[in-house]
Amino acid sequence: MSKSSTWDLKQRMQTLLQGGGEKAVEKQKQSGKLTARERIISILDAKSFHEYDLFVEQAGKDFDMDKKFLPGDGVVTGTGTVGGHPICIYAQDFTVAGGSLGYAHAKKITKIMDHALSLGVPLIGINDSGGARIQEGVNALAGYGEIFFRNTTASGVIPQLSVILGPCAGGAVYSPALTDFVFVVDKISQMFITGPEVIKTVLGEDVDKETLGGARTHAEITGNAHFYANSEEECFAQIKKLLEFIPWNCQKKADSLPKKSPRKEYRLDNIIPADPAKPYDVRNIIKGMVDDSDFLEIQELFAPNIVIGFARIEGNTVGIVANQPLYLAGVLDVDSSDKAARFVRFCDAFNIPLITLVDLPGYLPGVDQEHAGVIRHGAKLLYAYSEATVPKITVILRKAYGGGYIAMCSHHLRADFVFAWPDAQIAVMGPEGAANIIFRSEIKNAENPEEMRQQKIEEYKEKFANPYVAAAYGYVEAVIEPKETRHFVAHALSISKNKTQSTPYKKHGIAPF
Amino acid sequence: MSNNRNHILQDPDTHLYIINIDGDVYHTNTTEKFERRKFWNNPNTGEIRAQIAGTIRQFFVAPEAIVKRGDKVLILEAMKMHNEILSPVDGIVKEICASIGQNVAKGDLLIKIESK
Repeated sequence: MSKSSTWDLKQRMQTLLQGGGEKAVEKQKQSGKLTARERIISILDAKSFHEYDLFVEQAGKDFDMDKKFLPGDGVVTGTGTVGGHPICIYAQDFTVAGGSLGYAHAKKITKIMDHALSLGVPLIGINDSGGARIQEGVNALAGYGEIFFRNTTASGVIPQLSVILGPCAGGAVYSPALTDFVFVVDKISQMFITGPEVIKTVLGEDVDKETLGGARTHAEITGNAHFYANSEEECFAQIKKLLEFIPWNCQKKADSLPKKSPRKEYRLDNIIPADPAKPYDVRNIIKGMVDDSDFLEIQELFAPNIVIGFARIEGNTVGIVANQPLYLAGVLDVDSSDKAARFVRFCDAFNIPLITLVDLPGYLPGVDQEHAGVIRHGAKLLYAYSEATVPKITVILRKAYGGGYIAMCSHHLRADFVFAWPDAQIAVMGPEGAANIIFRSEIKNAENPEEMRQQKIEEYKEKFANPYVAAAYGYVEAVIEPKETRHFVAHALSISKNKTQSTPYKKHGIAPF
Repeated sequence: MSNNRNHILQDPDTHLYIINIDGDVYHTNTTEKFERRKFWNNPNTGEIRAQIAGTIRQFFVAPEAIVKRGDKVLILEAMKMHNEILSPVDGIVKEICASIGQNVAKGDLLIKIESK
């Protein structure tokens, strides 16, 4: 190879690697953002990034677009490793035409997506784009459509992660929405279908971009985001941590690590208050059960009345779903059902056993919940648990009432093992409500109705507010002491390793979404 | 980018809404749900409202008390649980808007805090 051709290659690359040029890069940095390549390098293992399609040229012909030089057409694509595992990645480059999506830009993205799917490796997409490149007309729309189609095809085959590090507005928002995990960063991420301008005009609502679709909004209110960070660095650390817990594709299992005991400060015997009306933080129970008390919570701020996330038990990844009495008494409602159902389906798709911790008074009553569709949203959780064929282990910690008991991976939805703590109350409803209904006439006709009510409540408590009625019917495999929980769960997991469960032939079910 | 062509009108005869967005005009009906929707207002972070219907059991603060974000301010019993409600902001309690034993509906104002 001649020296001059090497020199020529270097010259060409140097120009292209500068992206949108010095000024645009400086502007990017001023808004607290890293460049596309810096972001990729921060996520991947050192020196593992290999970039492809650097020489791709933009495809626009109209409105003098053909005279414009858009390095890489505003997106960087390639492969690398994270923790030694292969990965496909792309990052939109805001410094080049605002990261706008044209035909060639989309083609680069869909090409790396096709690679990810055929190689069976996770895909990370970093979004930072002003939207469709309007000058390219329908080709820009075609580009989005091709991306959405691949997101859907790859769904459940490889893990797909979307990282929102800039604007992601209009149609562009639907690619992240179709992927498994969405990462946002405070003051950097923005996602919305229509901006504040149109909202003000049509509805008269005055809202700024941050409140409408900033990171906090999506992490707390909409539930679109799964991980919220204060800086890009924190976000990259979250991505790496998540990738430690999940497999590369649906035919693999997540890596096993050497087992570790939970930390000593989380003792399961004394976390739950004796008074069933007192709240506590269920995350302390989780930490008392899992290796090194290391729990990666997902959607921490959204619908906090249910807790979901990954941990390890004896070295192997598990997905945990737990009612959180600390918020809204731990009820199931529209948002918490939706949040948990989606997580259950992710775990089932990627061979991650499910551990369910139950302490809930039931579904949340109220006109707003009923009108918001608590029936169809609540049904999602029943569907997801019933459909899941991974090992399913349930521990009833305290209250398990009514529909909530059924929905939280009961025996009836084919939990493999259900354990209950001695204080568990498994019943159709709480003792007060039940006594009022069952003994209505006795209470009404008593000389002292209040005394009779209390007496009947006690009677009901004694009879039904315990785990032994359910255990007598075999709905609970074992009543266990809190401190035995990890032991029982770990054993159940280890003997369920080769669980197989066949389902009747179908193209696919019709989940209630 | 402000565009003063953007507007919304209602046709008095057909009751159809006429919406103009960036010069594109749409004629449309609305749904019952749309008609009944509540207008969004920027929530005041210093107002603690009931997130669930229930009964006030206890206040941990009085007017003029200084609170920090995350401090327990009251107990709202709902769904058989003594829910601990925390202050969302650092500030000074300006007004207690409910009383012990009172049944409150979702969205009722409970405490006003002047944030610092």
